[in-house]
Amino acid sequence: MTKLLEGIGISHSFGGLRAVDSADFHVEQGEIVGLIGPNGAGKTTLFNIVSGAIKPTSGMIKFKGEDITSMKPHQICHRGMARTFQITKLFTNMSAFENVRLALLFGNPERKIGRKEAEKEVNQLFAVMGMLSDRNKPVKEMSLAMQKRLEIVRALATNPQMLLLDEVMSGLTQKELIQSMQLIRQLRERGITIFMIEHVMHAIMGVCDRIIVFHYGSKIAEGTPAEVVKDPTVNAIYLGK
Amino acid sequence: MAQNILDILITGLILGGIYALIAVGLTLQYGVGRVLNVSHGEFILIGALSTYTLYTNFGISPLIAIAIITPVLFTIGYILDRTLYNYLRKKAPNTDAFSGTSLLASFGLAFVVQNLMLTLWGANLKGYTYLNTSVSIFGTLYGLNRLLALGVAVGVSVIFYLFIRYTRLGKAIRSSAEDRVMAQVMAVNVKQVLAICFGLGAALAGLAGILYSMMFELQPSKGIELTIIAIVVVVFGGLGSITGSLIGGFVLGLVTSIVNFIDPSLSLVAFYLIFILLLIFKPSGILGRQIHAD
Amino acid sequence: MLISTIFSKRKFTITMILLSIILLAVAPLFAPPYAIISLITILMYVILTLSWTMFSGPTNYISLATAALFGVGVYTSATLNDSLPLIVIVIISGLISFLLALLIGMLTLRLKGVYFILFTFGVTALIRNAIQWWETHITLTVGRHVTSPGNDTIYTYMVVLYSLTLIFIFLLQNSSYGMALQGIGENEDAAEHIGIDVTRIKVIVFALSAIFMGAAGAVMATRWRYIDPNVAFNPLLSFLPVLMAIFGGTWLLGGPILGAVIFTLLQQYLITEYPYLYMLLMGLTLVIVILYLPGGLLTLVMKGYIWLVIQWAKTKWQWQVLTTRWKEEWRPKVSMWLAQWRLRWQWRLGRKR
Repeated sequence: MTKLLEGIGISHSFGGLRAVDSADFHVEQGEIVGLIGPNGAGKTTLFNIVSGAIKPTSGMIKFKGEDITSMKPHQICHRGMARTFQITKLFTNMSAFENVRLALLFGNPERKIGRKEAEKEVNQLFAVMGMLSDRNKPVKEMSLAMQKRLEIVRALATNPQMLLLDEVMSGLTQKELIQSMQLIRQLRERGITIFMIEHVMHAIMGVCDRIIVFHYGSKIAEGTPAEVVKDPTVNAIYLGK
Repeated sequence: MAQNILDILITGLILGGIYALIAVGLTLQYGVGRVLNVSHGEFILIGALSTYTLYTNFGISPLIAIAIITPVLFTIGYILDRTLYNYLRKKAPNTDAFSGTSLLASFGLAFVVQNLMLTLWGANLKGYTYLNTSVSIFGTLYGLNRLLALGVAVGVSVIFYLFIRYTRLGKAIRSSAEDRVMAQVMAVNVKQVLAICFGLGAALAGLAGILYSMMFELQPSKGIELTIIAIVVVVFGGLGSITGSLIGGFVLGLVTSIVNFIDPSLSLVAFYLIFILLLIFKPSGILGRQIHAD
Repeated sequence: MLISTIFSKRKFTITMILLSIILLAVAPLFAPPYAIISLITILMYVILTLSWTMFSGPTNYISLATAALFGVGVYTSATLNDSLPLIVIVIISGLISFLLALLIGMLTLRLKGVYFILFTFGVTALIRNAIQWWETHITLTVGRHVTSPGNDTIYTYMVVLYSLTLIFIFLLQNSSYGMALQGIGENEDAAEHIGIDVTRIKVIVFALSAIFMGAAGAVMATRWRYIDPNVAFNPLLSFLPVLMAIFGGTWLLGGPILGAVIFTLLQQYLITEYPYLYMLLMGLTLVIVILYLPGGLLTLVMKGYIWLVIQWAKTKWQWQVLTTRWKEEWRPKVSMWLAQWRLRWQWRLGRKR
């Protein structure tokens, strides 16, 4: 199994605050890896470092064997990594269709996509996610669950090999949660590796192959869901036992 | 040689004092309330021109004028923040959007205030003489008014610094600047603090204007120049840092003084050059906090 | 949004663009000379406001470098005045402004928001003061004189420039670059993460918008004829387009044009009698627009138009409802009552007899 994403000795400080402390982690191709930890543990900061939004104070990130540490987000996107955001960052004054079309046009620089072809592909993406009828809705009128799905569709339009999902399950109803979990498994079947931050415990335990636990910026445990649940440190700090 | 150096030094300090006051006022408004108040210079001129009228038409000395003008300007600033900027703050979806709208609103305000001043006072240069007697320091003559201005500027700066550091209101101001949400959690009435800061900023502008009027000739169109000086000093000292503004003010005052000695017509060029270079190489300022690409 | 679905119809926009160009082109045939002179100034502000909106509209990066980019064109024209034909000067000026904007963009578009505003302002002031110092101390030429090719030629140039600017913006808005620009303005982080090279696009569009500013400057130099740093780099030329665009509405082609035309006309009426009143009004308008009319005047006009359309539709619908009810419910009843009445009377009359 090849290491698709690898983080070596990642540290990052904001002024005096050490947000991430010498973290080593990796995600292998085809895995679904979960990242959990209390609020403020540095998880989103880590994602920001991986996706290129922030440059780490020290350490190296490798994606498909290539050093992407100092690359900008659009360069990393072109290399096959896409992400969603904890608070959705959709283009609210555009329709869902236009959001995805923009991603399609700019996320695939190696292809010149014509107007009709773009329309067809965007529709296909919506259809796969079961959102075909909502595609012309303005983003402002969409429910939270639908917006989160839209962010995923938009990320998928860039043809990623790896998807970073930041708390896609928060604020969802039970039914929506099950749909989301199903969706993530389907994505993996299509060949996309998933790295996800999540707080909804049973969702993450049910869907992930492996879980990394973060606390105060460092990795404190790692393993299968079953292993992590039994880990004493994790129990003491996080699961509250 | 030594005489020249002393000259430059003292002139630099005098200028620096005014710069520091102007800058601190702007920092209070930006650092805490996130309002880049480009009408700041106009408020300085209101203070200056009001002092002129009070002195020439009513014979009230500028020192007494301080007691009249500063509270009035404080009130105006307080009301402005509670009404205009608070409204914009509530309507804006995020801080960036608010920075934009508040900047533009201040813009509009600057136009309004400047043209009000032009209507009331006319476009011509005005000046008055007050305490023009000379005092000799180490052989050079300095106007008493200038030394007085320096004294007041330094005194107010020191008082202000102590106020921010050690009083409860000062701490409330600092915590609101750092983290508004946290400050609210700690039972700080943030809306009140913001308005007070804006008012204080306006009051300091007025004070600077009074001191300015004692030493220079006045023209409503000079407002924009003063705003720029304030902005440059504030950026120099770090956007949002009060100590930075204080120190930056005196430093840049000295720099201006030095450049003036070499070639007076270069002073504006030098000023803007420093500004541009600062923004290119160290936008967080000499003393400022880190500007992460937010 | 309802407004955008109705009014982003390309046909409507294209018709309006062509209409305005044609009207301007034939104006010299029936308009008096002073109107043409007036139009030259109006067109200048329209071009500046449109160019400004091209970049600063969708991205919300408020540029205050307009005066610098325009002034560079003015100065190029004043310097090259008699040595080259005007058309060449205009093109060269556009290019120089492009390069200057490219430089400015590369220096600061990596920083956000307020720093960009400050930097563009600082650069403009620096250039103005530097050139003034240079001319006073080194070349000893304060004030340059430019020969004029005649108002009709100047007018033609301005109309052509206006058309080019308008067409360029239209093409930009409908291209993927234009959509990317909008995305950047809405959420720069998201735009970057879906593969948009945000810095590159910002710099390129900013630089392109400068071409029109510089070209306009080159032409206006021949109109003004006496050029010095304060004329060429007048800070008002940075501030006014911002006011005009925000007043008119920055998100449609018509907004900046509307704002520029209204304010320039106002200026021409008030500037001689009440110069302070004009500026005061502008400042006040800006504050009011920011507070209550964030979409600008054009949004208000369109909302008003849509309200009227809805009222008309409502009235028509209500009228239809009334007529249907009349036909289906009341008329049969009324006929029945009438018939019954007639029968009763006939019976009474019959009995009496």
